[in-house]
Amino acid sequence: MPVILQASDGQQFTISKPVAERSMLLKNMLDDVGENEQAIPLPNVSGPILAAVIEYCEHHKDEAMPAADEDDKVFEASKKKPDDIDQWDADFMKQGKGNEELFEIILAANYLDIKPLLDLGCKTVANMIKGKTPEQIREMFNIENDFTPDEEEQIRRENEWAADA
Amino acid sequence: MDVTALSDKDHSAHTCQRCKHAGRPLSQWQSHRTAGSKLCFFFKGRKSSKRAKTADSSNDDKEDDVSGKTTTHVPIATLPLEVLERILTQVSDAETLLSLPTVCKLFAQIVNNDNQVFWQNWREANPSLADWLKYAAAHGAKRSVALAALKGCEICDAARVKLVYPFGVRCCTTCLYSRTICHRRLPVPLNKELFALPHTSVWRGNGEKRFYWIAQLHKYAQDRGCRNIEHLAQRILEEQEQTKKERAREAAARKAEREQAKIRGAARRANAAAKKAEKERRKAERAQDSG
Repeated sequence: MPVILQASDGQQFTISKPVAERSMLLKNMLDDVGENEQAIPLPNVSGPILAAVIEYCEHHKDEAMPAADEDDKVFEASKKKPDDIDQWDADFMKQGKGNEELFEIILAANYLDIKPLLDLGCKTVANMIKGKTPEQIREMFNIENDFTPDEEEQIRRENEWAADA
Repeated sequence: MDVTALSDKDHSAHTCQRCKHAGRPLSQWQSHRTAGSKLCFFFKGRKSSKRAKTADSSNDDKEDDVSGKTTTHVPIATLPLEVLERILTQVSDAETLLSLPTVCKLFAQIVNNDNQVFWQNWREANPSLADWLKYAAAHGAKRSVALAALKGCEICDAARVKLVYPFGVRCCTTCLYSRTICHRRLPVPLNKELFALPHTSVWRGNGEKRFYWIAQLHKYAQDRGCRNIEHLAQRILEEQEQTKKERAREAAARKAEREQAKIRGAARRANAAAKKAEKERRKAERAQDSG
């Protein structure tokens, strides 16, 4: 039975149930409501972003679902380093995506409760941050420096060895 | 807003004529138009940022970035806090991680020594680096990462030094011995007292040598209300003398009490014997009278 999703801009997408069930939100919804021909409205996700999310879910539909258990979560985390990203996933995140689209995918993954995609998005942004100076990070993400020079210096000193302290 | 739309296959042709951003399908611009904005997606994002003073000036900046991969200027702070935390926990590079709090107040709030949840998640996300936090309890998580992850003597800037000592300093051996003192050179009364302080042990043929950070010893002495470590030793000696005297006094008092108790017991026993004798005498008298 196909599942129909309706994005915030009215675009509709028909996907198979296993693909839809990559999202815990949709999985729970389908479990609660049962089979239904009506489109599921997703007011927080725009059409292009939903298309990208579906592309990701289609590619990963045969993979095991992430563990919900705490211990397993730790185990999973220990298996992969933060910068370990599959080639397909890396390419998927790169393809013509600017920061805003990347953030929208992260928000959509968070809203739809797709943990692997959320992790992938977070890792991608983290990798963008890595090796950058604070000034470069501010520039990249348009962050305003809201510190006074004294405050900034004080924070920097927290990491340093206080002489004879 | 004019948008050039050619065939679907040619994504590079979907270029906003105003901000020159390429590579987005036309439907995306349309979807934002229908959402009420007359501006394209990226242009809208820039206008809402605090830095963009005017739409035109931000537009001019954008034109320089036509080729850009991640050149759009979107505030990361618009993400929910838990998502932002999740992103920052994935930053495994210690040097970058330690510089994050200086980016903005929001980042400083997340990467904070008091944010136990963040450091717990960071530990889980970076299990191979979790050991770096072993000094966290004593020196704070950030300092702990700085101690273990960075290199070089923190005192003389000697390169390639990675040895971190329990006093919370990464230094070379020369600096270590110039700033520490062996427990054998300290007044004897201090030995027991200082054992709980951070120290590093060296085993030689003649036994263990414990090295204490001199500044920490002085700080400890000052916290105890003494001028310096010698003063503390003197005070400890006096305290030990005082304790000895008190113990002797208490022992004497206990002995005296025991003597008193002995005397009271003897008196009680004598009293009881007298009463018994009196009883015997009366009994004998009664027997004599009846006889």
